[in-house]
Amino acid sequence: MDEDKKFYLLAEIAGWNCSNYSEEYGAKIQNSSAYRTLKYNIPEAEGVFTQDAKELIENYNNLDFNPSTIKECFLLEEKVNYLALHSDPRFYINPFSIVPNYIGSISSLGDLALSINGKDITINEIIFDDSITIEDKKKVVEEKVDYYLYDFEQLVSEAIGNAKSRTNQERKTQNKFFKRTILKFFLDIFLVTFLLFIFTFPNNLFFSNLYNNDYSKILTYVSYIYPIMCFITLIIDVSFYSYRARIYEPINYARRFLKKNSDLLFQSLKRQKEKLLDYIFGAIQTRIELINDLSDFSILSTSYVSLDKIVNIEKEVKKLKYRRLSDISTSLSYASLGVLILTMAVYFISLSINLVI
Amino acid sequence: MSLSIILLIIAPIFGIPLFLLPDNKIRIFSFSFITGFSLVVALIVLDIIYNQFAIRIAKGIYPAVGWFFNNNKELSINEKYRIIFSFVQILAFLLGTIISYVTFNTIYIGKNPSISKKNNQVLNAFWRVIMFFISYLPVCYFLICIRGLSSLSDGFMKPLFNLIYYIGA
Repeated sequence: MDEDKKFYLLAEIAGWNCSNYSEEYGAKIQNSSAYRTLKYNIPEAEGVFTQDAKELIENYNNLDFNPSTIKECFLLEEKVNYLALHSDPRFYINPFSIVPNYIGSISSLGDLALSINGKDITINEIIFDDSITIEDKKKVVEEKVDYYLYDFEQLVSEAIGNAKSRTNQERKTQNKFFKRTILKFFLDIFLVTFLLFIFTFPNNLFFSNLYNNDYSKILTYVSYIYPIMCFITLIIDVSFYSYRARIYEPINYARRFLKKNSDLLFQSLKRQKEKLLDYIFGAIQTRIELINDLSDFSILSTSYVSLDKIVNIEKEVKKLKYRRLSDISTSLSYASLGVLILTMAVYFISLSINLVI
Repeated sequence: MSLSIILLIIAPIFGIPLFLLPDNKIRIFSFSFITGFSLVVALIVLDIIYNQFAIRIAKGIYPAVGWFFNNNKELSINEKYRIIFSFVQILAFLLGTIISYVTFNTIYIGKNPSISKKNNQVLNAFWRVIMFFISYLPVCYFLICIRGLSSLSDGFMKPLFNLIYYIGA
């Protein structure tokens, strides 16, 4: 904090209106090296599945660079400095939730930061620090690994929450989609049944009109439009629901899996924690530097469920391709319902008056 | 437009899901279609083993659906019975498939979609081929069996249709 700001802060406390200066400082903080570092580090944090990374991004997005008082300026600057420091991946990366093929600024478990006696220090530094006893080293590492496990369990809970549609809003959306799917399914069944009916029901009017096209009759047009509409609707519906099934498969699979095996998943997390502890304790005992082992203990995509895919499903659903296909499918259903009603009307009127209309 | 062309045109409806559905869903659908398909085969086998099984089943149903054939003077009564039996078969296929889909969707867990993709590609392709045939063939068989009701011509696959089900036998 520079001297000017200290002065204005004092003046503000004394009752002076310093809002003009606060606006000036907002822009200054935005040009500071701390903010530039923070801005540079954020894209990397966006690809990481940890609560710390999530909080970092949330805090970054909530930064308000229009402070109305010097006090707010001061707090903003402190916040930017804190976030800039903790935007370094070594503070927020969790070795249990490293995405496959992760390429980032750190590559080793040894680069992860721990806090010991109020000081931030990396695991590799701890290994070679003779001023700390082995017991203390193990204790601090165990605390951190416990935190990693807790953080990862939060992610798992979130994923399971997604799989079980935790909120009312999610349930409402899913119920709405389910109802729409059932309606469309019955519409498709009805479209095909009626198509089968008009092509098999003994009726000379229909077939004679079909083979001797009279373009002054509505039946001629609907006889062609209806089967084509049926075919296109079925193709689009089948494509959309197959594509949707592909997108939702990780969540559907997780739902099926977790119904019976959620204990299995949490037990595997605990086993992984033990493995990680053994690995780091071994390095502490033998004083070996940890290198290129960051993703060795990741369980983000285990043989059980792919939590990263589940967390990312909402992004897939918001993609243009999905939305377009969904819109086309819905629009076609309405269109085919219209054509179905028209065809039924024309067909049954023709049948009842025994004259093609 | 002939029935042969129609059978070819509807093939993509059964083919598209093979490329889009995930492996687990392919298996769930395959198991379900196998149930439906088995019911159709079982009815055919029963008809072969027990003399006039199809006719006896159709005779029981005829009073309820006979109105549909009132205007049809071309088909013999036995052919009408055969067509009714085809409807019974396709209904058994659909019901068997739907019921077993609900069951398998609940009990079948499958493999992690992110991992199973990389392994067992031959097995996955095999299930896709199986799914196509056991879903497409019963529908084709049904349309071939009921073709006597329609004024559509058989088209270039007429010899094959006559081999599967000969009208006027």
